[in-house]
Amino acid sequence: MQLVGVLFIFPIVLASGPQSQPATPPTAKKTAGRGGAGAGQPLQIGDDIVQVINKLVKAGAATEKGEFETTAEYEARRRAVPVPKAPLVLIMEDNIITYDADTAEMTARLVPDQSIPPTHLREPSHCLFGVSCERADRT
Amino acid sequence: MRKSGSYIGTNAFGAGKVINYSSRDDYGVRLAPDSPIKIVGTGNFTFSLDPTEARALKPFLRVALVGTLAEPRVRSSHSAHAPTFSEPYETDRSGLYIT
Repeated sequence: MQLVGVLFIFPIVLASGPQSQPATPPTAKKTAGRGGAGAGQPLQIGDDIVQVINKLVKAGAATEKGEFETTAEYEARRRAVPVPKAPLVLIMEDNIITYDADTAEMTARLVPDQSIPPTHLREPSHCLFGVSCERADRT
Repeated sequence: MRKSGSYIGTNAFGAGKVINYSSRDDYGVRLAPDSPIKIVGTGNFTFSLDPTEARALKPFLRVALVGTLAEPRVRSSHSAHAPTFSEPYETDRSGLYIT
């Protein structure tokens, strides 16, 4: 991704129901779309990376060059994948925010995920961030 | 979480052992090396905020990466560990990443 910005977001709790209802933190993955919510739906902010990736996968973006596919055909197939032109806004889910009362500063610490298996994904010039991880610790 | 739990595994000699297993799916982002904003090692992004406001807002504060896709490709990874008698656990991890 061509990173063009890192945003701090304070979600505004929209009044789609009674004002007395407690505010709940938003999540980025439960429902589709970016921006506001319909009546009775939780407020959603940003893009859903699971949906973005699944849509790309469905369009063939995850399929490697086939044995019986020429390079030209492969390149043409890749070019035909519909890529979202608008910037994506991906909410980081890990707890990466700390506050220092002495300096009165809020800090987001973005640390690349070192636990991702060292495959072709990891190249020296690439940082990898888990935006949405579904985890299951060993029991 | 796709699954987690445990079961009794048995080796060729009939010895049984409790095997813990877990699996997970990751979704992530690779930053393109020519990104306008680069993160080398760790990226710290800071802003000033009054302690009282910070206390009230921090539970709701989120951080978002904003950017455009650099390539029309989803990369994948997969790793797994098969249980052995000395390492009685089974893991399966899959990941899909955009760049």
